[in-house]
Amino acid sequence: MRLVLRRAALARTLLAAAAITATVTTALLTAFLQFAQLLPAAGGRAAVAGAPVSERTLFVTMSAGDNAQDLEERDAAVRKLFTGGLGGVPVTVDGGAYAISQRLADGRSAVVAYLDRLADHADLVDGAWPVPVPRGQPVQAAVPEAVAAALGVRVGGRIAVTDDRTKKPAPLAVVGVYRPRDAGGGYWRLAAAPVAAGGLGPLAVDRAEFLARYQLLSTVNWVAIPAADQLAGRRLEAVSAQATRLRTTEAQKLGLDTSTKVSTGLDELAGRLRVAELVTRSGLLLPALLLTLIAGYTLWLVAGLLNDQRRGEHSLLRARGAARGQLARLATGEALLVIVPAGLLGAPLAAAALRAADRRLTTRGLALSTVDIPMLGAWQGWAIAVAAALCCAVALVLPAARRGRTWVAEQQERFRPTRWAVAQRAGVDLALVVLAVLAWSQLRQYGGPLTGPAGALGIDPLLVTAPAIGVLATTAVSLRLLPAATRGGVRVAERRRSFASLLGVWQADRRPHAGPVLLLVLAVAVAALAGCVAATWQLSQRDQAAHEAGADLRISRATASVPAPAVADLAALPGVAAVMRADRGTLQVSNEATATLLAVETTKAAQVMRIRPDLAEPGLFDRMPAPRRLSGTALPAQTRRLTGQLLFAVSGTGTAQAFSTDVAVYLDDGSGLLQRVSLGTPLANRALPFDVPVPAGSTLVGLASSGRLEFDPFNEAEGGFEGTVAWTISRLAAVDAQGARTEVTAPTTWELDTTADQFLHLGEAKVTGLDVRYTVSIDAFMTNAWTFRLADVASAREPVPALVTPAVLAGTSKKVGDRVELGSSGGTAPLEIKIVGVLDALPSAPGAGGVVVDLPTYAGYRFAHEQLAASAAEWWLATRAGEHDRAAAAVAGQSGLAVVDREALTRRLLDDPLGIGVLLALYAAALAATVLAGFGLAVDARSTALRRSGEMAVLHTLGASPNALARALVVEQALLAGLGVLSGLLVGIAVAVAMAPALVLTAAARAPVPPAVLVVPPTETGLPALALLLVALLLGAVVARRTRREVITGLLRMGTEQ
Amino acid sequence: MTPLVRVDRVSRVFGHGAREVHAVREVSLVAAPGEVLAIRGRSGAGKTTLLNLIGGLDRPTAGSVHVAGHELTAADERRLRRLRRDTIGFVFQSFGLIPILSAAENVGVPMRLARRRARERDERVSMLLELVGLGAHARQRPYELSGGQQQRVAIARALANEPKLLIADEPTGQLDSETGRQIMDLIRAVVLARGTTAIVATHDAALLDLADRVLVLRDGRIADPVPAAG
Repeated sequence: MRLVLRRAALARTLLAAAAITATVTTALLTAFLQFAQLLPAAGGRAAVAGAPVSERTLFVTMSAGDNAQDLEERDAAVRKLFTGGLGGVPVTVDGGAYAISQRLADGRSAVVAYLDRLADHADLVDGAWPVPVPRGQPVQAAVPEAVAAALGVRVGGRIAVTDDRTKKPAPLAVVGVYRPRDAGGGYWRLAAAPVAAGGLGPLAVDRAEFLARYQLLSTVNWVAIPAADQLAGRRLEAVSAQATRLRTTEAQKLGLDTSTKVSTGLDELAGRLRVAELVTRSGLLLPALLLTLIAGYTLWLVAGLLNDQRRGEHSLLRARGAARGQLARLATGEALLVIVPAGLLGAPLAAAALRAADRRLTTRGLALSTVDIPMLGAWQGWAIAVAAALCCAVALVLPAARRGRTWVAEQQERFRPTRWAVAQRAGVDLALVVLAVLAWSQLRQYGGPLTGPAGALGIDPLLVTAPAIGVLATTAVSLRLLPAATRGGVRVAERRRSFASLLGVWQADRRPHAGPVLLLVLAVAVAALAGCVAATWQLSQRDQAAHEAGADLRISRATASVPAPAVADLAALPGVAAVMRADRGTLQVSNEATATLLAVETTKAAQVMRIRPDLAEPGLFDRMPAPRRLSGTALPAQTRRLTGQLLFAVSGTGTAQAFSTDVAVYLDDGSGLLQRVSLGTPLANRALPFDVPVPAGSTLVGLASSGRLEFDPFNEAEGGFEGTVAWTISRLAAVDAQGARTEVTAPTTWELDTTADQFLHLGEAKVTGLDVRYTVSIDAFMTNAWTFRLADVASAREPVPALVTPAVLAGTSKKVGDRVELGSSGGTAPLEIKIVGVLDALPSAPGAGGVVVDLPTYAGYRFAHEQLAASAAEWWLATRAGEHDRAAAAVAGQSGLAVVDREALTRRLLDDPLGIGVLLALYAAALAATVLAGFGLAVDARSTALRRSGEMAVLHTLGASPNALARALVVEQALLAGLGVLSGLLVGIAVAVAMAPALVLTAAARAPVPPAVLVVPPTETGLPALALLLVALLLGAVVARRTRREVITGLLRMGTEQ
Repeated sequence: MTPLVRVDRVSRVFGHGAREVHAVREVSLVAAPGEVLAIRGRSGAGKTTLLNLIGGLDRPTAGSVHVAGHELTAADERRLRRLRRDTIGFVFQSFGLIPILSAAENVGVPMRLARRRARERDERVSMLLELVGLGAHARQRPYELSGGQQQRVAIARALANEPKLLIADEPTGQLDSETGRQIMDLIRAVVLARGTTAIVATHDAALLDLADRVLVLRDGRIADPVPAAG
């Protein structure tokens, strides 16, 4: 041991640098591997906590039975199902029942309920909890605070309730007002359904009172809530499996009443989390692999440099008779000095790093660990740190322990590798390149590192390691090219007369090992790749949000009863730059495939629709022909109303009676959309005046109605009907706000379209202005009907010009310029389109199939073929730069509207805790690579200084100035560092170009739509490279300065050269 | 004839006080141009120290050293460096070759330091390597050469800038006797051919007959000079 310590004292600086490097490397590796282990579980816990109540609970509902005993038995049977918990996870079960037969004075449902353990889930704001009361007195109830405010009741007041069963009053006495503690919690599912349907409550009454007065016809529920902190990983799978079994097993086999329904979303949650965890793990594997690569190589380099220092000594000792075992013991002793600090400090340092990461993630709602991370680290960290330290020790001891060769043989191998060694290295390089190409092609084929059918996805080892293999392979190739670069440098330096430059370039060209350069290339490549993947991921989230939204803000009506917002009102909102109306549908492309139909105002699409430039050619919407508008009679601009008189005239013989449906006019609202305005339903031979409001600036484009002949089935008289049926609109006028009237006449271009039942004989129809007259005869005993329409739809019948996605082209086997008829959903007629262009993906539409048409043209087509007035179902808004939040707030203030906000979506995607965790890991890998490379370079610099001292002394003796020798060192370092950094950048960017987009997956493990596009962020890729270049140059300068000082202070004296 | 080298009462003391070591004590000597002067003595006699003083690699504690008319003791570092580059050639016991450079490149180093033109340098390198019998080994690296070959390269390098003085410290110390003899023959031949003065430190008595004059150093002092055989 004394010899070990004395040797160590002589090389203390180098050993200290090696020990520090080993410690930092071990700590970083330990922290990272633990982080990669903890993050998916943490994400699972966060996802469970944030999951909807329906997904993390199990709900059982059945009829309450006829009496208290029924209820007790049912309650016992349900609770028995959860005696052992759910899947091994403890479960709290709460029950409750609500009556469906109680009604408030205004007709709304009063949700009278009893709820188990209500006092544990709500705070009494006023009054007391209800207790049983004698018959004849109003039942006591505690009401929610919001309901009390809505009804205007307080403690001591009464709520007037009628029992629908008996039609008798069943008032409630308000004795308490409560506030739910966790309004979104699973407990409140017990009475959620009737409240969601519009009822007020739950109005909580005492259980005994409920059983006595409300049990009949009421519903009893139980909600089973698994302990959230245990719902993760395999436990969630077990819980989900048991919950699914309960849901799918027949009620009787479970010992439950036949009216039982079990519902749960735990299986969906488990499936979603399973996939999300896979996606997270696959995302973490990349930085973990890259960091392990760098860390492993740094340790290997440090070990190699130390062994280099001892190479001569070991050869000498071997020559003097030292056995392998003796050398191994010496090396082991020295290795201990390097690895013991690493082994002892690695875990605690890693724990500190993890705590810092935990603090960062906690601000985003993600706790890395359910328990505090121990100060000295967890046992897993110790295991990793000790393993890493032992690997370093093996690397240090192995060269000393192997069979020795002659000094000359070793030097020859160092300075002139044998053909076999060259071929061997070339073989390894080739194998790496082949593997990298294979991995890359597989990654492109599968579109990501996860493979397998849905429900059985798994991480493919080759695909997930593809980037790391790519880095190794391209690094190997670049190192092959480096000698050419340095030889080029030699040729340039030889032409100059500076010995310092030439010496520096010689050293760079002929260094016996490429360790530090390789470390530099790897570190810069890892940092560049990590930066590119992170930036690509971030941009993809923005692109996905923009694609999903389709516009800055996309509005639809929350329910069908909400009136459509006026375009002018939306355009007037602060921050809104433009409004585009849209309608949506589904088209059948083939037997298996559908496509989303999006009808938009194409004249505004370029301004409003957010479609990434690479998905559609510039000016694609300009290719759409101008919108087709139906022709008609333009009403005066100030028109507010249409007035006139309807007459449905019937004359003829027969027993049938003629009826008319409502007579409607169709108006173009001024933007190409049609509005159907009913004028009224005339009775036969009775004039019906009408006065209806119409939009200002409209054009009258059509008139339609239908008639039917009905027979009395008990009157078997023959003859049917023969005569004329006519609709006449007379004195049609447009009236403005001041009451000024303008006569309106029908356009001469209008044509009559009639469709009739098969047994109806319609003779020639005659149209005179707004008079439509049919000669009708029928001799059947069935009701027969016909429909007519007056309009000019000749051009509207033509195929609708459309932009389609490649999936539609493939599904229909068509190309641009072709026409194709696509079946439509919702019972409407097929849509014939003419393909005028292709866009790669349709914003706001899920799936690959998409068809975009012009909304007015589409509306005209629908009117022409089906007499439907297609209108807008969505309003897409573009916001002004810098005013999006204002616009979003203004839109949110409009009641009854559902809003998809691009910015909010972007924030949600970017703030996803798991995504942030993976980003953190990528940046940490980049930083760690830079730090480790810096340490590795420092160790190498010190080793170089020691190695070169002899050469420097010789050169100084021969007449080289200390400054020239220092400059030579700087030139060497600058050339190697420059080439290394440049190679690293090229390697990292090349691998990123080839693979980064394929690594971006959605939480559902699918390729994102639109596809991820590579981003090479200048700062994230350039900064580590610049930092390492500066570190390398600085270290070179430090070594040069030290060497210069040593050269000045100590010439190589005779007798001291070694 | 004006001596090329004149050493006047030169002393060199290392350390202080009780740890003082008098490596060289008041040594005076001269060496004429074209003379091979051998300095002999046991290990620790002060041979290497004396050579360092003569070569300007060390400064004496007392006395003066003149080489080719330049007083080394008064010269600054720059002047000494120029002298080492242009006037004095060194041959080390362990050869002192730069391992990453070929034989030709090693020989060319002093000429590059002297900024000689490339063609002139290349021609001279070829000539010197031929002179030492290693013309065919120009591209080989030091570790591909035998000890004797490496020392020959070192000698060629020492002669690169046509020095007036060649200082060799135990040039045959790491070589076998036959190879050592060859090296000494080479040094002698160079001296004769070019008029270079050579001061060689050696403890190998078998080589002393190749010197013109032998000085014996004992405990840092010149002992009775021994005339060279032949």
